[in-house]
Amino acid sequence: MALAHSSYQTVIVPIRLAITFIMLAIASARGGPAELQHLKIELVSDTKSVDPGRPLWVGLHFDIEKGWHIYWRNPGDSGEPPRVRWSLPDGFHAGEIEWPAPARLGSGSVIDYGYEESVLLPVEIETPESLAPGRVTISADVSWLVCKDICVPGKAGMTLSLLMQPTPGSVSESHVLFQSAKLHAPKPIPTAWKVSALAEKDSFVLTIYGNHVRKASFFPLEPDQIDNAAAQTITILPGEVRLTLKKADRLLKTPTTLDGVLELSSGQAYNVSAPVQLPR
Amino acid sequence: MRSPEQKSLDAALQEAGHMKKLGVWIVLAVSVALVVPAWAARVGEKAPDFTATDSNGVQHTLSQYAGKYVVLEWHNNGCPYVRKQYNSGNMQKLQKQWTSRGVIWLTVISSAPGKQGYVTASEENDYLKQMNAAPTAAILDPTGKLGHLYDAKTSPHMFIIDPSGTLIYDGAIDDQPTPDPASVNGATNFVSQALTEAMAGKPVGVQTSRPYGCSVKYAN
Repeated sequence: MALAHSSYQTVIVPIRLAITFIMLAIASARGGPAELQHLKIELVSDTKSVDPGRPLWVGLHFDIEKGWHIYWRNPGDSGEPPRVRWSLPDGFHAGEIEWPAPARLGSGSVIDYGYEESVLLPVEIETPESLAPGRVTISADVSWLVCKDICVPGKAGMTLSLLMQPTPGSVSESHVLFQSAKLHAPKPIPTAWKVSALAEKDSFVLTIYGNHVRKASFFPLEPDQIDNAAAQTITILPGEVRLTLKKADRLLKTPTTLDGVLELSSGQAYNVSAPVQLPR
Repeated sequence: MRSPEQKSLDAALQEAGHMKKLGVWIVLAVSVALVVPAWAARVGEKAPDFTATDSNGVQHTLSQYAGKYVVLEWHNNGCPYVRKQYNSGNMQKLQKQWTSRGVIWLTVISSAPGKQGYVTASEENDYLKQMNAAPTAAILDPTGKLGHLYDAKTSPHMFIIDPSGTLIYDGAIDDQPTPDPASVNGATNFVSQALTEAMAGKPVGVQTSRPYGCSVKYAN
């Protein structure tokens, strides 16, 4: 096994690298989905053209092999989120990835947050007010980790060439992906609801006042605040719902807020920032 | 700030005021038992003792290393994040650097049979030789007993125990959570930093960090 390990490193890795570079070349040349190990990735846009001064929505569309997954911005106990480096024309500025609510993955004592099957990671790009006629080239260097029983890092460089057109652009064939992503994106929490978190000795009690749900899951933005593998117990009281979240063993200092995504039984997810109160 | 346990303890003590001394002590004992959490590895607390067997069949206990610093390194030879450390020679360099200063360095493999990173004793010895690795010993933990005791999440996941038996670091090997080999250069190594600070009698600055890497391949 040790010998096999060594030959794997010296032989397979260069072959894999060579394949990756060939794939990169193919991806760049034709602009379609890049087929890499255990997933396909494509740089897509919501519209077919760039309308100067109006936001341009682009996205990384991952089509993931069955049984495999990629990771959310907080990957949980293991793993790593996809990262992107943009190369954009002058006057264009890319925002952060607008992460869809993740799924809870894994079993036992190691729990991760990520995506299976297919996911679009949308990004809003600011465009300049005036643009010379012609085409606009958007390039993205993306790296990720895809895991099942084992983990495989991957990277791809992709480009998208769009026509500059000072009229509202017609939608692309990927428009439906963006529509769905917007529909399912975590929303601001309704103003009628109030959230707070009470720091107890071993847990946080996240309380949501003013709603009526039967099920709720909390996904923390920051690692090592809550124990990802611990069960989240829900207590339903008149006018409030309490979610008990076990503190992470590595949490040494009580945070001032508990930030994350709260997914309710309706399937709708909300961004929450709950002020943490110390016990009196 | 008083925890509910403390409040109930106070209440219990008041109620017990009329009791005989023995009775008070029974109430105290019961209350304290409720306060003590499940045994876990937490920075600032006593690290859980263990007995484990290495790739040469030698048994190691944490208590036998009282008076020394002990580093635990969770390992899986197939994980890209572990390969980053070993193929660059960085992990071996750390092992040599710190064992030469009297640190006990235990590499721990908690992969279950059939899972990535599982090795037999002779396979591990071949690997150590081939990679020029220099831990004090490589612990084989195919049942995951030691892994679960420390709640090791990833490979690598690093723990440091000080000479008094207190856990002083729990987390990542460094501040570069990527499998990219180029990231080893210029990384802040949290293990070296914590050992350097602790040996100089200084408080450890970074006591915890999110361990990054592949999940530990425990038996399901």
